[in-house]
Amino acid sequence: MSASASQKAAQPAHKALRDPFLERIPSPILVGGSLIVLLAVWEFVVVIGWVPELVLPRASDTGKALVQVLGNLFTGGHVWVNFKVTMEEAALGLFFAGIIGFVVGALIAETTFGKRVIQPYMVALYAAPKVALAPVFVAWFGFDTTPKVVMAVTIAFFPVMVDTAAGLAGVDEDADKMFATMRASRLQRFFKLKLPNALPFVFAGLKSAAVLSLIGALVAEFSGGGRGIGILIQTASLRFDLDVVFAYVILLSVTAFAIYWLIDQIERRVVFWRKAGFIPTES
Amino acid sequence: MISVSDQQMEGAGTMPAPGSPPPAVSIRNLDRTFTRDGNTIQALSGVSLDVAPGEFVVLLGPSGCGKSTLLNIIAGLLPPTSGTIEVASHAVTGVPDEIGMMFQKPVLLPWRTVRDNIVLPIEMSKGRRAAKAAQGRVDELLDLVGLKSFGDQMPNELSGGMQQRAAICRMLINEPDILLLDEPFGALDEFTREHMNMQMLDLTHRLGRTAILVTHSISEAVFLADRIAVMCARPGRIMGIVDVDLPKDRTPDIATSPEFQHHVEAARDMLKRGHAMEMT
Repeated sequence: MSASASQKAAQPAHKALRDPFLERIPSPILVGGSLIVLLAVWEFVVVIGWVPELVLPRASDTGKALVQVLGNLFTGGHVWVNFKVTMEEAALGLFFAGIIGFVVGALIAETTFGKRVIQPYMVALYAAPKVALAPVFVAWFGFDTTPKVVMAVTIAFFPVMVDTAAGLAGVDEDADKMFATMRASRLQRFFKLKLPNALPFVFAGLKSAAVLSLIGALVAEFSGGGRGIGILIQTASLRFDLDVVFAYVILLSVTAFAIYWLIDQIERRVVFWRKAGFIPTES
Repeated sequence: MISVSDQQMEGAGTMPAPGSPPPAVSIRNLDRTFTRDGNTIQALSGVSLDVAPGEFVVLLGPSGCGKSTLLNIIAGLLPPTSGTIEVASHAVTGVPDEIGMMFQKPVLLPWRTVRDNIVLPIEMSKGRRAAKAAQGRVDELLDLVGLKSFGDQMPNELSGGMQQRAAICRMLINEPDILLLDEPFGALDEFTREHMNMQMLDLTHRLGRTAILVTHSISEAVFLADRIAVMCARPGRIMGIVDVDLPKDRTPDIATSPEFQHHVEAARDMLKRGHAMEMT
């Protein structure tokens, strides 16, 4: 009896913390509904002239541009050709960022040299505004895809490195002791304890790296020319076709999201013992 | 009142009579200091203790008394600063062959089945093939601790008590003579803990193993021990020994007997004296 009484007393305070109206609406309706409202407001402010159309394209024009872009993409037109280039750059960037990030992260976590010598440089490099290096990479590697991949790797490998190092170092103290009592060799400790323990962290790093790699490729395209969605965005914005620019940005956002989702699916298979959330709880 | 050194002599004085088997663990004048930020902490000072084969010894004391440090030194995980430590008549230089260890956490690897966790010590020392060959032994052990049908489950599908029972199997898979137990059931609820203590007691007697268990629970110490080494802090040392001459086959009911209470009082007095000395 006293338990139910105290429960009743606790309820009003509990309610005050949450908005009961928004809590009750299903999430798809809430997100979809707010999107429609947002698009309507967007269209409205441009139509009545609060915001000049030169600054903000109409939502409906952006929609039309998006349809055109997607049509071109799926019929193998120039959007497809450029999209493929950017995707290849970003994929190669993610690939090398994953390998380099993992190896450097493992060196930092596992060796004194890595901890005492490599780590300070990495901290310094982490603080540096790496996108500013894009013109430098163009000067070094030309107008080919190479400077784009290098740029993508440069900014994408950091989260993989940091998360790998954190995952390898974050082994439970008792588990470490237990492996010591089993007289595990260094290699056994690495492969049977530290590496599996680090996997969720490595995947968290890879997910960040996928998004960063795409950004790196785009930034390098802006300053390096050649082919790629970055070039198309640049051309369209010089012509003040902002609706087309918005269409490309939406296309790239959805693509980045899809890659993120794909890596998350792989993580669910590989790190099967962990209830994978879309946003990693650790790290 | 008996002085500390007398007490320690008494502790060392329980050496086996000539002709009896050599002690499973023999510790003489052991010191251990830690240096942290330039400060030297005396974790263990002048510890001497013999543990006879088949004996159940409990290291009882407050936190900071060095009981876990002492256990880690016996396990060969930590070298002593000075003094000698022998396990099965061999000086300890690394982890001795004869020991198996358990911790407060079960530390089962969540990516391996219970079965694959249990064979881990074999896999480490003799490889995967030997681990596979030991499956029959795994089934025996699982049966022994009442986890017969849980071998192919993942650890996170098991309750805390069941996880610790799996950890017992892992400890026993290499048939160690000496079990080192670092508050193995400290994280469990009281009912599960009592049950696990009984199972552990039964197991060590049935298998004839030597056990050294660390705890800060007086009643747990009296329930389990043949002998309690009461420890105190600053510096970490053995205050004295409480001989628990209760029958071997104990059930939780024994806790209400006057004999049990007598031993609890004896241990409590010794702890109190140690605490008083720490204050001055």
